[in-house]
Amino acid sequence: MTNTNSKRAAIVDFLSHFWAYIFVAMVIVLFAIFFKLGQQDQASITSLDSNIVDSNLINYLKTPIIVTTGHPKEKISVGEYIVSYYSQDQSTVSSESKTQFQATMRQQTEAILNSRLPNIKWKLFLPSIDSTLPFTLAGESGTGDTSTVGVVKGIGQSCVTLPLQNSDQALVKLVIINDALPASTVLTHIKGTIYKEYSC
Amino acid sequence: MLRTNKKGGFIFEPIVALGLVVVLVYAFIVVTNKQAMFNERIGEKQLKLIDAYYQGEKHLIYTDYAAKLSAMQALYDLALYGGEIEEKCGNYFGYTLWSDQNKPIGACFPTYKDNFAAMFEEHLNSHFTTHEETSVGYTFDIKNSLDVIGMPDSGIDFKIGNVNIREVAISDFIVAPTLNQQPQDKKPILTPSPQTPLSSSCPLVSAPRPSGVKVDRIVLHHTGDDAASKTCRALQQFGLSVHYIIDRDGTIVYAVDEGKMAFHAKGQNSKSIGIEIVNTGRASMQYTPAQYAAIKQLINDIAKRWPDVKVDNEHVVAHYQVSDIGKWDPSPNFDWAQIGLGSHQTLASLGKKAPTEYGYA
Repeated sequence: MTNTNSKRAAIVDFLSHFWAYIFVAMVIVLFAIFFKLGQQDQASITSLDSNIVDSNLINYLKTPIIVTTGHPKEKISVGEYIVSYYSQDQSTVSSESKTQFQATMRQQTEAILNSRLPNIKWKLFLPSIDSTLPFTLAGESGTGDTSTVGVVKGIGQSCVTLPLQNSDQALVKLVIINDALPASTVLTHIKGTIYKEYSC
Repeated sequence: MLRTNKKGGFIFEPIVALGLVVVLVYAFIVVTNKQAMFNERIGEKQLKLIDAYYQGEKHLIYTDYAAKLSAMQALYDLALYGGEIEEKCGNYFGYTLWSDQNKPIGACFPTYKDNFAAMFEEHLNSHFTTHEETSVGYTFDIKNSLDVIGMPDSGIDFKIGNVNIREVAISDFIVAPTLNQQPQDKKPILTPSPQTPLSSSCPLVSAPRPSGVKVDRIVLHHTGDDAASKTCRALQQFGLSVHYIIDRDGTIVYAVDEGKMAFHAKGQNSKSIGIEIVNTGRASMQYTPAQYAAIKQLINDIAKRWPDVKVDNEHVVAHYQVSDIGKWDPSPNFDWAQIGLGSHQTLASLGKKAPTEYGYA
């Protein structure tokens, strides 16, 4: 009878604390749910990053620039300038022309993108104009303070394919990097997707 | 405690407790596993729609530039050699004839605009061939000032998510050929450097090969006379051309650079290399062993330089195979087995006949 009574007392004791146990469990589950939703929001922000980069690259290509190499000076879009240059047979382009193209692109690209993306670290790549590298760095963010966290939370990239006169194509790639990311993450990304593959 | 004294109340609470525990365990499993709580994340569909918009913008940029480049190249071609390279009304020393008084109006290209339109479409399609996502087909109109107005035949489909498909219309393009760019003479895919010994030459008309077209075949002809020198003069007189002429003694006469287009087979010129074999075509004239040897050597040599040209029945063809206007060359006496293509389609196997006035039954 004693055993029976102690078992019964234990059950009664458990039941008297039952709602407390339920409350603790519910708190744990709610925390887990909030954590999960937080992760999903982060994923949405990453998608938004890609759209921001797309938008910037498209606007960049449509931006009119004045090219001084022609006679007289002519106003064309950045995209047209790129198509015009890469449509030439690169083996016949003089080193002076290559240098001039690089200088013009760097000046124009940095003027356009730095004004649109202040305080954000970016790099813009074009197909190689010499055979030693798989790509040409057409411009990058200034050396000023790029550590401020901007709208981009991670690493965003966007590519546009442009047609060339000889039915070939040129790939233009814009990469935006949040400087707040660990250096190792950025380095791995850049080495993996740009330096080796140069594709989107 | 009062209820615990009752049998029903004592059973009720453990059941409720057990039920709640089951619910909590299920919720915990759902949350901790990778199983999605909702089909889509918050705002995901909106982001995908925005993404589809940008993809459409990128395709539009490609189409716009491709149209500008095509317009420029078509104008350049028009100025360089009269326009459309696949001569439909013949040519005059390599320059395209737009119309032919002997043919009904509309059979060829009555105006420069028609000619421009044909070339423009060809160049535009070559750009779309290399960028298939944008290849939706365009209907275009050319206004008085050579403005090209294009309308897409359909939209481009973008897959949004795993199951939903949305169509984003690609807007029309209006192109005035104002792109600041020097059109190019089209470059050959390879720099031809014939290894076959060439003993003489016969300069004939040629034109740049159109961009984006691969050379993938050799077309054989017979000349209709008995000496390469006569063939050369005749071709020069009529404004026609081939790349090589094989004389009766096996001499290979060089005429046109392989990287350029010769005018020898309607509809095939841009993608082929033409070889004339000296033979009158009469039933009484056989092809010589020296000619067979020279042809075999030459086509093997060409195949080494042009990766899409193979020495087989599909890539070494007769003019009668690729023409639908009564061509019958090379004549039935040509023995394909002598150049290693014994199972080649003959004139008879295609239901065609050589002319009886040449001595054929």
